[in-house]
Amino acid sequence: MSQLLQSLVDALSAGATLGLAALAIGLVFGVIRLANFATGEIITAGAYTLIFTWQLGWYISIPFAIIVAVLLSLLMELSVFSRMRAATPATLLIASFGLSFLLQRVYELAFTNNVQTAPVASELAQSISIGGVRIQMLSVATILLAALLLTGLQLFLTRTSLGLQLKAAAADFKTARLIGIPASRVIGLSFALSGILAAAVAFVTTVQTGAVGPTFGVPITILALVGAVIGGIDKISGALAGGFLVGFATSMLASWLPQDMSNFKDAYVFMLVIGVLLMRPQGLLIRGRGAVRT
Amino acid sequence: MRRRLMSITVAIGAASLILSGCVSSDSETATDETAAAETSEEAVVESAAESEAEATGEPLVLGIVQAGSGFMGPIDTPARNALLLEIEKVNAAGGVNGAPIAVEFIDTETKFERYASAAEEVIGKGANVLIVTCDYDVSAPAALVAEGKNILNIAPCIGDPIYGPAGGLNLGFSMGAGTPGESSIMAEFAIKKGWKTAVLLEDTSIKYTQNQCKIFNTRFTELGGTVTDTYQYVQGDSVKESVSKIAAGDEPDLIVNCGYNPGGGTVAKEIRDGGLDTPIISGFGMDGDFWVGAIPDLSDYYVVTYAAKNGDDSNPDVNAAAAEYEAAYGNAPDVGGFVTGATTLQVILEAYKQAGTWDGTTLAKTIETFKDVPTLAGPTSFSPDLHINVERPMAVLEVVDGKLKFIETVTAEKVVFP
Repeated sequence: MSQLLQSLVDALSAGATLGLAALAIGLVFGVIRLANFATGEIITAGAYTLIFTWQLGWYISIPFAIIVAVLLSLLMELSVFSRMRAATPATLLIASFGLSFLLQRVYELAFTNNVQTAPVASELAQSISIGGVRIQMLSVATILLAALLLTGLQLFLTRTSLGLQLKAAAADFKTARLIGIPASRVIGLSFALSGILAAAVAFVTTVQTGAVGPTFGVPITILALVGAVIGGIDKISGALAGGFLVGFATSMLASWLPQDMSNFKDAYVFMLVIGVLLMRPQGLLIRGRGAVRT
Repeated sequence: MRRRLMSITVAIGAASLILSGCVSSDSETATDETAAAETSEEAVVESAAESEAEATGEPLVLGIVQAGSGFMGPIDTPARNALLLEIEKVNAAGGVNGAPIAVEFIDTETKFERYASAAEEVIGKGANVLIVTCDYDVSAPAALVAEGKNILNIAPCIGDPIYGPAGGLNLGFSMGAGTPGESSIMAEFAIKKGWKTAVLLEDTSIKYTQNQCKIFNTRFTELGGTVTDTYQYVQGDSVKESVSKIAAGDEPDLIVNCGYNPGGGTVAKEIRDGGLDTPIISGFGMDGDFWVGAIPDLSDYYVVTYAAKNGDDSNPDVNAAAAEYEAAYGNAPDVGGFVTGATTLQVILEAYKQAGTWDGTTLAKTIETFKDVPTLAGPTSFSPDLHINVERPMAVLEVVDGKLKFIETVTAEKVVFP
């Protein structure tokens, strides 16, 4: 029983982290059909900022990391993606790969290819034992952070004019533009929110690892992208749910697969992904065949 | 929909490519004081001077096909930088055959597809010896090009014996200390400390770490220890769930982290964050201080590696070389494997001195006869079957106050092969 509880906490935490990362991707995809692979480099930028500024105090480091992530996200939009409005989603994706590799080299030049380390929020990384269940404070904090961000995002999307514009644009960008929703503002907003979510992911993962290298954000972005696709990247909630599902499933498999099979957990997860794509190529949470957009 | 699926396919395809980037590791050296005393600069300069005296053969052109960036960058760079320093010394003493040693370097950025063409390129520019990246999987394409052209090829710090005849490389040698010796020392050190039970955390992404755990298991069991569990992971994975399982069971005396950085550092952090204060031991893959800062107050962590890089090695020549390195590059070497840089050139020059030719086959046959040749990395021996050292003494380091501190130099009582 205690092992079940423990694995549930671990899995909820892993799911929450990937859910946030998938949401960061899904928000932008919903508006301009860009599955931004360079989200990983936004996460990396936030993580480097935390590492280099943590000694100044969390109240400086965390806001600074958010600012850096948002600015980098907006910079990507202004310098690259805004010039590719007529491009197909596949072309945009390739462009984001290019941007991702470019930024990895920039990080390498700036910070070397060795990891940079700092004990970021090391208190959160400690574990406590409750009734025989070992709970890492970070797991609890991750779940709470995700809940807080999702509640805030939900309120923003449903209670504010800007949020409603974004939601409308994410649902049908062409129609939203026809009814007068300013495209550039909504696009910029989606990138900014994506940056904030990326900063949150950067915080969680940096506390967990304490070490950041040039490709730090890549693995989580790959899994988040996969999660967003199986959940239904067309829909914000779909991306979130898909990301959560992949993180949750990966962690549960790591906990419960026999030891000699645990190394194949990713294979099982990707089998699940293939199965979902075969049965529901539009994503788990998208009804019908999904909207076809240009 | 098709466009979206195309995007998905491309994304997953690219992700697979990125995820498939496995890495290497190495291992290495330690120092035998007696041998090392003979090693030093005088020996190198003397060797160079003798070669110069002959002054009849072709000059040495070293083709270096290594990573300056990418995941092998941190492993290749210290040994390469040290090699370049050693070349400067030899050149200052007159070079080889009356000419300075020339270097043709291509930074492969750890891109697998670049190695073969880079090897062709440097050999085309006259390289008569090829230096490759410290991982067999990565450097094999370059090594095979050299083999095809009858050129001696050397990896300064590969740790797995596969770099050599076992991997189809008759002209390929590693100056590293192989996993058989390294992991046997790890097991013997554990027993000496009184640790009787161990849990293994094995990174399966490369052969080096797989064999590291396998050899440790064999030797540890031979000595009366018991490996209670083995958990596998892949570089970059979180091992939180495995740590939870370890914490839920009987705490072992020791955890063996068969990993390399940066993933190995994350594993170490997750072990401590998970509330486990168990002693941990690793090999050369976890050498270096750069990852330790992520884990406040880390202690009871031991690393068996080539040498201590922070100036506290038992061999004064190693300490002097580390100081020279820092003076030249502005920072201490990242890992103790830097000593293999000097060793690489020392072995090449000694082989040339004996063979009198740059012909790859002749040089290889000569190197295969080496028995305890003194080099900075320690006494260096090879055989026709084994193109890597497995019996060198190695340094045991412990993390103290955020730095790796030298404890002792140890030679394996018995070397076990995987």
